[in-house]
Amino acid sequence: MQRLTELQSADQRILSLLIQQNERGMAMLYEQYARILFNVIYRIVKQEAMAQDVFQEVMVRVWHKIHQFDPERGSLFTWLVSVARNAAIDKTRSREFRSYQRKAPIEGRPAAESQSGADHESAQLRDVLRTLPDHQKVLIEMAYFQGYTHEEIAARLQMPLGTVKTRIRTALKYLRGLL
Amino acid sequence: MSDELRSYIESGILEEYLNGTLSEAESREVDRMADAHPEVRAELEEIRSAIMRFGPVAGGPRPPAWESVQQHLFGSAPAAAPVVPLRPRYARAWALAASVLLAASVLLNIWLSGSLRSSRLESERLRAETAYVQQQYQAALQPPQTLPDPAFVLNGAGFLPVEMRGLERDPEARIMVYWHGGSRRVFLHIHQLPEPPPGHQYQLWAIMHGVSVDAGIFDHNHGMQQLRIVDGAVEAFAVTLESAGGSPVPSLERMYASGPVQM
Repeated sequence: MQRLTELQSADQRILSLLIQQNERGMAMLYEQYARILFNVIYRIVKQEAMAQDVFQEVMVRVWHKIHQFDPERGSLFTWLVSVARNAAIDKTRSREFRSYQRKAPIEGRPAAESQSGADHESAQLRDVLRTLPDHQKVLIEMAYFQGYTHEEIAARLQMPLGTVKTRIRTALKYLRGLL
Repeated sequence: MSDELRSYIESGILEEYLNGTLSEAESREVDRMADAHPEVRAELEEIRSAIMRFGPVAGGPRPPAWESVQQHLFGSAPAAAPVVPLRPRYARAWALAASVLLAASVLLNIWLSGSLRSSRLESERLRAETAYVQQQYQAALQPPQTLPDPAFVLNGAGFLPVEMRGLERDPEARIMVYWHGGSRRVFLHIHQLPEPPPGHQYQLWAIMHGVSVDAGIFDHNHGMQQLRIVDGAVEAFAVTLESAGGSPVPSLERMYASGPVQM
């Protein structure tokens, strides 16, 4: 019964709802982790539409296989990342993926500034993001919204890995301060 | 915060964790650190919150909208969330329990009548048993005040009894849960439980893999009531006192009783 004391987090609430097959659990999971999990998938398949398909598959897997999650082995987030990563890797082995690669061998990753926000997005939040120095903003977008690892960013921007990590951390701290 | 912990937090590993770029083993190590140090958990939550908050205004490819995920998962008409029975349904509960008894008895009759056809004694016993079950079934359709001791019926009908004993708040508390092996329905019978304060209700939880699953709120004033269907590897049941209407997570400081499931 000791583990009852660990039940207060959002993860536990999501887990309880999912075990009960309550749809609200998926809505909460989406709210908490959608962008992060999508980033994990996109990093592997490197194509937006395909990453969206995989993301849908991951949501289905999570909904149907939540009983396979073992809290003794790690957090819900770690399990979710693992499900997302495996689904994305499965996709890269598929005929569909290989066929796509033959037709479009290189898809350039969208530049950080190349995509405009959706209509409903908060102009205020966009303004906050704009207040970040460019060198930090690029790093945040590359790491969390374009699927790059810290190592890839360091290589691409020809910057020491330690500097990448420090700048990402500084930028996130700045954004957190504005929430 | 110790210097060691501060330097761990500032190492950038938490940002990588939430970027999903750590290996599974490394992620689990972060999980262990977060379990052991609330500072690490708080830091993770702040970073996660910042990423998700700024996701919509950042550039880059996007996950499908929630509406699309919902459509994909649940179809055009999303299933309604399960409804918690707010009031006990005695007649239905009893009818169910007796139906299960009746069905079990009929099956038993068929089996026994084949193998023990020659035994008049057995036949008489079976007739008596069937009559008893039919009597119980009829009784189930009567108002609750005319029912015999509910445990008398439930104990013999494929129900697993789980005794919940009072904890520190009320050591005298005693509640029985009867969990049906087939239908996974849960019935609860209050033997002893203090009157809840105004605006509060008791809530039953099924503990699975260390996670508490809501099994429904129940009425303190009624002895036997049916709660939610509970399926899965339940390790224990527990009762907490919650604000009226129940809570999605248990208020641990107000746990009144608990009992292990012994299969």
